[in-house]
Amino acid sequence: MEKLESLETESSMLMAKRPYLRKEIQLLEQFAAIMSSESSSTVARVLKPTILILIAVVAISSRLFSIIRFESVIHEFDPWFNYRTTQHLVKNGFYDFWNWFDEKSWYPLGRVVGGTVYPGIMVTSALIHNVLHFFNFPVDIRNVCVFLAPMFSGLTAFSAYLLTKELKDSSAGLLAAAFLGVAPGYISRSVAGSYDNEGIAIFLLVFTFYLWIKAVKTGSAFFGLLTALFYFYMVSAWGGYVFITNLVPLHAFTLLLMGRFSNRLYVSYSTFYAVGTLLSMQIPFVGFQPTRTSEHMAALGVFGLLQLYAFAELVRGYIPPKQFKALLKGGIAAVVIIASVGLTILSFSGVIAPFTGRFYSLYDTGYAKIHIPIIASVSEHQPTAWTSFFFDLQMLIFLFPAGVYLCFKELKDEHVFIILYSVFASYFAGVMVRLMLTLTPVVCVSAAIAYSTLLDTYLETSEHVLASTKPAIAVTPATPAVIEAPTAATSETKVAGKKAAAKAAAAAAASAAAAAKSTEADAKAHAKATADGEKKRFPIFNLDSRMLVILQLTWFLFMFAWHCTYVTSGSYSSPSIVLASRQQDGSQMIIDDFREAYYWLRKNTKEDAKVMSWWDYGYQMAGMANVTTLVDNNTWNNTHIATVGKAMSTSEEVSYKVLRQHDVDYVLILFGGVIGYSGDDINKFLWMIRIAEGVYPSDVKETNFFTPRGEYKVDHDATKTMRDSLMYKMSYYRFAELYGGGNAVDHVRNARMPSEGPTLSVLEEAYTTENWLVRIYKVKDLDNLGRDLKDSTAFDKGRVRKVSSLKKK
Amino acid sequence: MRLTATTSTLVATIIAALSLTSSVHAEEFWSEKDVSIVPQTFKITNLLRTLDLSKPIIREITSAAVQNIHTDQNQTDYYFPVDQAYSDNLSFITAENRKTKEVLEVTKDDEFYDAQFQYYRIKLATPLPPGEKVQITVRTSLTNIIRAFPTHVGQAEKQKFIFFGNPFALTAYPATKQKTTVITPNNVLEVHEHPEEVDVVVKNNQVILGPYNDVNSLEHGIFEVQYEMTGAVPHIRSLRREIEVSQWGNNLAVEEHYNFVNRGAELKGQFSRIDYQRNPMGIREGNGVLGFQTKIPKLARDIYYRDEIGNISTSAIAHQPDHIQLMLKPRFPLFGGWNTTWYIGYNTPLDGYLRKVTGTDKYILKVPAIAPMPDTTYEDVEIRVVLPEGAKNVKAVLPYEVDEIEYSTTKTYMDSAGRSTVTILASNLIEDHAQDLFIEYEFSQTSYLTKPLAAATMLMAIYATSIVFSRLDFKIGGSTLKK
Repeated sequence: MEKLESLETESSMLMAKRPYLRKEIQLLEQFAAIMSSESSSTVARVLKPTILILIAVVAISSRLFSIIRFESVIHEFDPWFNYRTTQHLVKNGFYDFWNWFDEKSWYPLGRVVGGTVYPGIMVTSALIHNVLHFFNFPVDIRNVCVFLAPMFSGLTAFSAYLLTKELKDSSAGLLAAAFLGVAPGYISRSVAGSYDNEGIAIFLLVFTFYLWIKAVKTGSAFFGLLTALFYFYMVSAWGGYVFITNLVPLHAFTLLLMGRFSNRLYVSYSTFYAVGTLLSMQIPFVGFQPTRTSEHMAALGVFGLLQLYAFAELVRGYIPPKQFKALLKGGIAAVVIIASVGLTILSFSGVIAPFTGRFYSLYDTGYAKIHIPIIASVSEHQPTAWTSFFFDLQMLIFLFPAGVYLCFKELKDEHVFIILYSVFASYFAGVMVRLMLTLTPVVCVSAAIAYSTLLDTYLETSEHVLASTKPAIAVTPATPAVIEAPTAATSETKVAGKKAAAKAAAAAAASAAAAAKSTEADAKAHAKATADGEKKRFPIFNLDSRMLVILQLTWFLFMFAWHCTYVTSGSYSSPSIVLASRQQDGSQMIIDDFREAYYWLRKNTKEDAKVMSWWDYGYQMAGMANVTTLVDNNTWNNTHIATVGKAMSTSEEVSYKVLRQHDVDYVLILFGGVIGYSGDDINKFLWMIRIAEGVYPSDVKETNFFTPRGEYKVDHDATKTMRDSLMYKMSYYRFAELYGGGNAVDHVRNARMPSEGPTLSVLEEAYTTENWLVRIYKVKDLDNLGRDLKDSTAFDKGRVRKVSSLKKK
Repeated sequence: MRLTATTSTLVATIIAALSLTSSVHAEEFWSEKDVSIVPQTFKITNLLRTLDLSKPIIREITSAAVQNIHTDQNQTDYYFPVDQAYSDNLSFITAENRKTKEVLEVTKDDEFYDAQFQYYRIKLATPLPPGEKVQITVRTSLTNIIRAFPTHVGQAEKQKFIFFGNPFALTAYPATKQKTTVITPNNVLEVHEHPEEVDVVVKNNQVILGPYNDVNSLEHGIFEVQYEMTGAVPHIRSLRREIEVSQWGNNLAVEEHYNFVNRGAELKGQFSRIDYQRNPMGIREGNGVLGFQTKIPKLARDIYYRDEIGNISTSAIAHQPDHIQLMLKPRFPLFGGWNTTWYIGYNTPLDGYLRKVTGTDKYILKVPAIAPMPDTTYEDVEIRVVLPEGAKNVKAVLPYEVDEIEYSTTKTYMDSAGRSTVTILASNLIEDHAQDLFIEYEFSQTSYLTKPLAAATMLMAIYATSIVFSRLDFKIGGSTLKK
């Protein structure tokens, strides 16, 4: 007898590819070395796409751990909502999706889905699905959704290549692509099944930045337009578009301050802003925000500033400097006054909305904890721990500053951009764990620049110097002595630096030119050109010292690949709806309680059953159990969430009223006490209490849940309020009986529970899963005889006891 | 009304209520004597009927000794009546010669039926000469007749069922002597009957009705048995079975979608996990279904078991000498009234299922209509057989009558013209229907080339487009990039 496991053909195929991961990185390094010469030989032409394709393959396959281990399934919480809406979109078409009012969530309020989502990811999947179906490839929408993020990660790697190529060269580009392909900081949000906005947004972010740099470099309206188009795509896909909205103007502004205003900047920024803003306003969820909220004001301001500056430049050309100075002074004063007064008036009159709470919490990490507990209660909004930088980026984190330093050395327009990007992304990543995601691309790019510079220096061979100098000299009509001279010089000064070699070559060329006067000018020019080209290179000709560094770097690459694979497989590939554990004999045990409960709800409750739970499970319940939920992960209505918190944290009598008012049929909670699952509701209970207290301070008091010694206890020491709360009762209802009455131990909190467990009168147990992880309670209907439910329950119990005692006699 | 077993007030009231409806029918039966409309060419000299209630599907075996009473004609057609009220319950009918064990052909007769009865014609293998006797056994399987009483039971309680039936064997001809034995899985709890004069003997788990002498044709009455039956009443609301033939890959892909409900007595109140875990085995299940057993071909591979929200991790397979036993465990135990859906699928080599008729382009596919699950009733069954692209002149040959056979085309991976598809719709099936069905089709050797050619054309098109595209130049001025 053997375990039947989900057999995915794709996964078994890709399983075979996994071992190649490290090998490919190794090969890649060699190829990158070969190509550092930027030669456009046929080999390089074939190698570059091949390497990029291999990087994409590695990027995709390293994201498939969860599919191989478990199955092709949507992960976690938010992806379930995206999946559900995608299904709706595929089934009912785009217009229906746009106008969709979802009455199954936020009961009884409902949710206008079309106007409150970033539709990018759903539309992308639906498009892929429909194109495939048009060509008779009946791929299930679930598989499209599951594989979307890995596929886009391949594209992200490619855009990292393009971006870095603009900054340095294609060998650095390839390294950046390889880094970004496997960096855990990005994988954490893009494994197969993690069907979330970030899955495509990071690609869009990197690609938009590439296009922006390209636009600034070329001054082409075409690239400015492309930037705007991809910005629009980004706006439609992720709320993080604000990052682009602020970073690009900041770049333009910085360039302006650096005195680098140019027509290129003017054209690209104006095209980008005008088209991009108009397009972004087409997304209903964004609407008029670009003109009305503080987050978008910087972009508008810089746009205006650029116009003024360009106008000033224009005027300067037509009037004498003296008058211009006066005009400029007056103009600046007028603009500053008008702008500041206007902005203040608009802000205070409410036309321009102030920063949102989430935005403030980026500025002040303590803000959310005090003012908006709901934001603080989300683990991904917590400040990042230092260790997680290394965990997510490994060696890249210490190559990163080196790369930024190298950018400072170059300091062209595009390098300014990367410097700004790295400064701001580093700050944001430090404030919020989630924003590690926006930092990862720039870290990969900078690290690739640093790494590639090292390789350039230590892999440069004398033959290479020859190869690059030879053609330049061969075209000169100088005598063969000119060619011989550098050769001799190179062989003589093997130990010397490259600069010396170039100098020697230049000297030799100059001396040869002196002999042949007619070619002097030519030769000088060429010698200069050669020296310029090699200026930055420091070839090290000692094999041993080269080997020392190269081997070390290779070792780092190995460690990096190993670390990435380890982190991806260990930490980021759990679907979180299925839990896996090892049994004593080493075999895998799957704990599938969530789906057990959800499927039970889906199949065995009436179609419009309303299920109350804490908001964490809202999306999953809507997606898997297909029931109406009260609150979900789209935490837009704090009061409603607080109401649910109140129902959970008050006594049965109080909460029954809330339950009845909201037509609740079932209450679902997570309880990990039996198997030791620490993410259960009792551990989240304090947040429910806090959020409820924020809205219902008279009904819920956080202090009442703590023992006099200030401890949060569930055992004998638990406070009366705690023991009376609905959550406590639901969690421990008949729990002690599992242990035969005595010695009941809650394995999460290591608490010995009282042998007499809580009793319930307004709820009855409806379903408890195999490992007790999910417990569902049915809300009792009003008593037929108009009694209090507590009385009627007691009466029923009493009667039962009487009858049994009679029988005994 | 005579009650043979103990009574309680509660039961009596309910019985009274139930008999009220049944007596209305009874009134009709007696007011006008039903007359058999088939030619009265036979006489039944002795008849033994067994009603097996030990499983949710009721098996009725009627063995009749039949004599040709026609003076000079040999007789070949014997008619077996079935009450029209039971026409939806009758799932399977076979007949055999009791002595020779020959299987006799049974057909639903187009000529002899009325509002009350449908007659089935049983064709004797050899014509019966006048005065001669033959013994015919008719087996019928009836579904969805028993009902739980009381309708709700507790988690570990025993469920009881009620069966209403005719104490007489329904015959198209007068019977000189007949007797009915009812077998129940456990001790019989109560028996009530009408008319009152019939004799009833209750022996442990058996009820013996009769023997009765000189029973008219189409004689009617009512009797009712209450008995205990443990276990579930598995019922499949709908089954969609998809079979895809790939001659290229020598593969038969099978996928089955089930929509299941347990029709046993419904669970009273709510489910309690602690009671379930604490009760000893055997009691904890109540009438719940903990798993399904099904057989799949021995060479099956890539077996999967999923539902709408993903893989169901609780399943096991056991390799048997001639098949693979699949033990499917649903996500939750299925108590009475509880539903679930799931689908399973696997691939198996085509060799064992497809034969080529030598010398022609004709192929014959032989596949089982359904994968049998014991004691399970199937309400709506859809069998879709997708043949390779290029299959022509498709014809399905079935071992029994079905509701509908449709021929259409399906387009799937890499298809250009679409694949011929046979869709078979059937209803009220049981495990006895798990017989082979045959599908004939023509498939020429050249059709093998369709797929590679289509793929090649597509690739060619992509390359050609990219060639053309790379040569197009949309620039409206000199390149700004070089500046």
